[in-house]
Order: sequence, then structure tokens, then C-alpha cells
Amino acid sequence: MTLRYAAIEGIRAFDFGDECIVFNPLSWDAHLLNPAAVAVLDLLGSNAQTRDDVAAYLRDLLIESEQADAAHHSERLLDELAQLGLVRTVADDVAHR
Amino acid sequence: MTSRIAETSADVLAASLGGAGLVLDLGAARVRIRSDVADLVDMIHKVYGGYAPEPPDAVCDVTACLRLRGGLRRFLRPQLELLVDGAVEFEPFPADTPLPLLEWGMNYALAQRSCWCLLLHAGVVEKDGRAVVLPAMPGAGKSTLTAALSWRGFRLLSDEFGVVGFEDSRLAPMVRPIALKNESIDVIARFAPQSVLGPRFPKTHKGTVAHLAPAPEHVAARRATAAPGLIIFPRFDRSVGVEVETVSRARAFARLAVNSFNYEFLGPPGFNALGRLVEASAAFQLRYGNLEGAIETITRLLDEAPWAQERP
Repeated sequence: MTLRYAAIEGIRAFDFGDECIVFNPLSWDAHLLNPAAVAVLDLLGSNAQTRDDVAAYLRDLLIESEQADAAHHSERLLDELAQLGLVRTVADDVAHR
Repeated sequence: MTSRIAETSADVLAASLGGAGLVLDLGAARVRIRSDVADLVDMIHKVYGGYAPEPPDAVCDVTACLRLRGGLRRFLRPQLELLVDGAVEFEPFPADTPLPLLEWGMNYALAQRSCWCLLLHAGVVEKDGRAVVLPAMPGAGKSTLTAALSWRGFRLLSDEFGVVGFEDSRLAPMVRPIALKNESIDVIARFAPQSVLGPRFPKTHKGTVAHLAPAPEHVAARRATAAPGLIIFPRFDRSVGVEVETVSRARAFARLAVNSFNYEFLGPPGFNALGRLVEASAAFQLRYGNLEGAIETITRLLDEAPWAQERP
């Protein structure tokens, strides 16, 4: 079974350019996110993705000199977003239902 | 038409306070004041002179009852107690400080009860339909700057509460006297000699306090809301003239959320109201040691704002 990640439902956001404030509807906490985190959260809001999917997506967004670190960045971002309660894991079969 | 308090006799005002209560429409809230404290009559006459009393049976958000405490102590060291909606919520105050106790008590009660809006701890003034929100921690010079702006072409909405609507994030007035402390009392007395200042109360827990009456035209306009404009985080610093620095919207959001009386209890409506307010405003940090310079800077920032360029 492959773990996939999805954004929780009902996230609200204000995009202020370089930074974005998002509201977690479950905890009522607001969080300040950088553009990379917002991009990943957007991706996970449309469909559940695996860690490899997120790393590939992030690789395309990064400049060439940073692409080698995409997997490391995506791991860290997913862990941080999960800690904030903004993303959750879903089982592979559920994600494809 | 009901007469303004300034034109009402002391006897009539005393009877109102001692009877059903004096009902005041502050704009975003209505309060009822009841009291048997004789000294309070002249004070209210002076600092609430621009208000016309509302009908005594009007529904109010807060009822504040200020009275002399009973018991033997009243012969030795008389004290006042304040009841908010029938309950004593504060330690008693010395009998010679009725107005500070009433004003602080009403601040507390309005902050506790105003759950129909996002409530920021901020001064708010308006010019050309745009609000200037001045959030600050105590001692930052918020009241002094708000008072000064209100006597230099800006309309006073509030010295204490930034009342932000859930639907449109417009700023609603909560017009009340401005509590000035210590040196700022003389600063404003010199800055706006035509203004009306109530009596000075030395030795309160905030030092000497005096209340500045809002201008009658600002009281009369207490129904007119203002669109978001500027968010200015002021900081009095006598070592500088005026220094201004842009604050990112995300940082402004975070500072306002911390500074709010009720943001954390509101959830989604509070987040949306604050986000829209910040989105529609430009935010700055303002260090000032010079009032005239601070007012010139705020006026310039308003004039340079994107919406000002769009004016016909």
C-alpha cells in the first residue's frame, strides 16, 4: 500500500505575494507559508499524491541548481504541512476511489 | 430633536443617571450608564457633551452602573464599584476616580461582548473615506497620535477599538472620549487648545489620566463606516523625528491577530475579516517623536496609496 497525501478540506487562504496566510478549519490556527509550501498545498488540494509525485512536482518548480534537492525539500515540506495538520495521509485504494 | 448632553442641565442629567440610565449610541454599540455618584455628572457633561441621549428604554449592549460602596468603609476611605450588566467584575476604585473606572469598565465590557465583529485593539481615524488603523501595545503612543489626528482633519472612529465588519471588513466607529495619560495630556492640550479635556485623575494605576471629548461632528458621523486604507503600527520615540518602514501584509496580519481582542474565538469569520482588511490596506511601522511630522507622513501615505491615484 502506497501512502498518499491530501490537503484537508476547507482550508482558507490569503495570498499576499511572497507569503501566504492559511487557515486550518480544524484547529482554527493560521499559518504563514512560503510559495513552495503553498504550491504543494495547492497540488494536494486537487488530488492525493505520493511523496514521489510531490518531489517531481517540486523539481519542475525549482531552478536548475536546486533541482537535485527537490526530494529533500518535498520530504521536509510534507512533514511540516502534516505537523500543522494541513495535510493528511490517505491509503492508496481510498485515494483512487 | 433631543438636546445634546452639553445643552442638558446638570439636574436633568443627574436624574437620568440616577433613574433608568443615560443611554448613549457610540456607533457600533449602545451603552446605558447608571450612577448615583454626584461628581460624575459634570464629568459626563464635559466629555460626552457632543452626544444626544437615546430613549431610556433602548436596547443596549452594555449596562454600566457606577455606585458608591456601602458599609463602614465609606466613612473612612470611600470607594466606588462598577457593575457591568448587574455583576461586579472589578476591584473597587477610590471614590475620586469615577470617570476612569467607568471608561475602563466599559472598555472591558465592550471587548467582552462584541462578538458580531472582529475587534482590534487600535485607534482608528478616517480621511476621504479611508480608515487609518493604529494598532499598538499600551505605551506606544497610539492615543496621543489618534487624538492629534482627530484635530488635524481626520475623523475619529475610535481610540480603543478597531471594529471590523465580517461582511466587508469596513471599519465601524465606536466613538468615545480618548483616555490620555501622563505627558500626553499636556501635549494634546497644547496641540489642540480648542479641544475639551475632562478633569485630571492623578495616581491611577496608569499614572495621571484625563479624557479628551470627541469633536461633536465626529459623534454625529458615528454611523458612517470607512473602507480599509492604512495600517500604521505607531511607536513613540523622542529620539527620532519620523521614521517609516513598510510592513509586509503577512506580518501585519500576524501582528493584528495577536493584537485583537477576539480573533482567536471567532474562527473563519475572524480570519476572513482580518485577511480582507490587510489585503485592502497598506501597512507601515511608524516611529515618531514629532506629532506634526507623524501626521504629515500619514497624510502623505494616504495620498500615495494606490486607491488615491484612482480618484477622479
